[in-house]
Amino acid sequence: MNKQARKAALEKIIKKAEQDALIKKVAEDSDVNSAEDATSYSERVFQKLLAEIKIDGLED
Amino acid sequence: MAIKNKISKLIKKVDDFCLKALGSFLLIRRAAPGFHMPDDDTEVAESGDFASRAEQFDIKNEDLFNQFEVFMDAYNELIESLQIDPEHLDHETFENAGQLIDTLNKRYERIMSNPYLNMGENYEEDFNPGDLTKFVQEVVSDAEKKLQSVAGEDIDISEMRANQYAQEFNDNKNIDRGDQNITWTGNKVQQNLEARKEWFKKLMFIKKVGKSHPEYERYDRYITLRREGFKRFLDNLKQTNPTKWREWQNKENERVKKHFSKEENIQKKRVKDVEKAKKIRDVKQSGTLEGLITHLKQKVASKKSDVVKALKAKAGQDPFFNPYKKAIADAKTAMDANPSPATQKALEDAIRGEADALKNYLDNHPAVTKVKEDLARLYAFRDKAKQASDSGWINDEGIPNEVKPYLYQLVVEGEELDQQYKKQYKVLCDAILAITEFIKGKL
Repeated sequence: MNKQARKAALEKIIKKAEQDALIKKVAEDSDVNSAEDATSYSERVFQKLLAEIKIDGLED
Repeated sequence: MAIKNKISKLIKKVDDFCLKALGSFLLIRRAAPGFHMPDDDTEVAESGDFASRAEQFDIKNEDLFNQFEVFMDAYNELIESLQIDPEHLDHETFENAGQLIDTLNKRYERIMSNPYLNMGENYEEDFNPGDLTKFVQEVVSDAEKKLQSVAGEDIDISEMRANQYAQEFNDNKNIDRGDQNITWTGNKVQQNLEARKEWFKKLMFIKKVGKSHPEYERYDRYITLRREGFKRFLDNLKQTNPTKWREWQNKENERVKKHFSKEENIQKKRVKDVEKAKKIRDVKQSGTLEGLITHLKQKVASKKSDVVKALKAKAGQDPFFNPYKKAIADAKTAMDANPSPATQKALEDAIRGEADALKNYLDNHPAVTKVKEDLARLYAFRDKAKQASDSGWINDEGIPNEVKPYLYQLVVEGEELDQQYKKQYKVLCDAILAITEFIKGKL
């Protein structure tokens, strides 16, 4: 594996770790045990992901 | 004043730590190369990270095992607590570090004075007790080093150690006075130590006075060095252990959040923000090239923010995500009906699926790709203009002839950008034209 490929692989790992942490955070913050119905829970998760996910190059 | 007290407190902790940690001089000597138990033959690695090396000591004795475990826990916690941006050091940080140093020291002493390590024939471990005590000592030394880098390079722990040895030499009649390892430095060390502490206090005073202090450069050099060290640490962690790095970042974010939720800090931040805004406004109104570049930068940031808002609003309405939303709703229903690790995992997987789809949608949306390409060209212009500004070529004494071609070229590039992008990015192009007009007026 050359240097560039290693760098790309590493970046992929970092992105995955970031994404994992983000999903964990959203899942925890969204309180799955709340009594609300499944549709509004799903919408709330979506809005939270939308707020948390950053667009590469525009929100760095 | 507060930071000075905190630093003084930490220095005191360092003093106490060193005095205690070096108290067991004879036991430390047991760790010297050449010390072997008669029935010991297991080789122990002497390099690598401490966590891996600690794993080598598969301790059978329960008491020693527990002592060693809690000792390593204290070390890990201490090291983690010390990896904090100097700018964010606060009372709590110092308190925590101080308590952990005490804890580490106590646990260190417990291991070093554990009679099991001197039991001779009743000793059951596969490794040399000298290797363990040597390792423990190395861990303590490493903690000292890390602590030194946080507390300030001015604290010379090796001198403290020398001083401690000197005191041991005087106080303990059991120590061999002919030992080559003992350094006799007497009061001179104490004097140096005091001088160094005073130096550090002065450094903190310079910090408190701020940039108006004639020796502010000293503090600036000191803090730059520490910030660079911290950045290196983070960069390295990001590459070697991304998960740990993310955990660390989350903790840091939590801590910063907590810091800024306090009323006094909110007030301080408000004052700083007002000062910063005033500074930016002053630069913008200064009628200089720097002011025009600042204006352009702000417009670029606004444009980016507008694009992000528009795209996220679009994504919020896009039916493309309906299947993902349904998958999450279904997983939630299943979990409500039958809460179990399996249904919980299914829900997490559904969230992950939506997160991946959303990230991909946002990052690769044609509007984002286009804006990023366009902005790259605007950034190139902005950077060149900034170089002209930072170099001080444009001043009252006239522009040097050798840089005029560079500036003419910059004007041409700015006007080309305006021609190409004025329909999509009118505000940005107006800011660019203001820069080209300014340069033309000076040429």
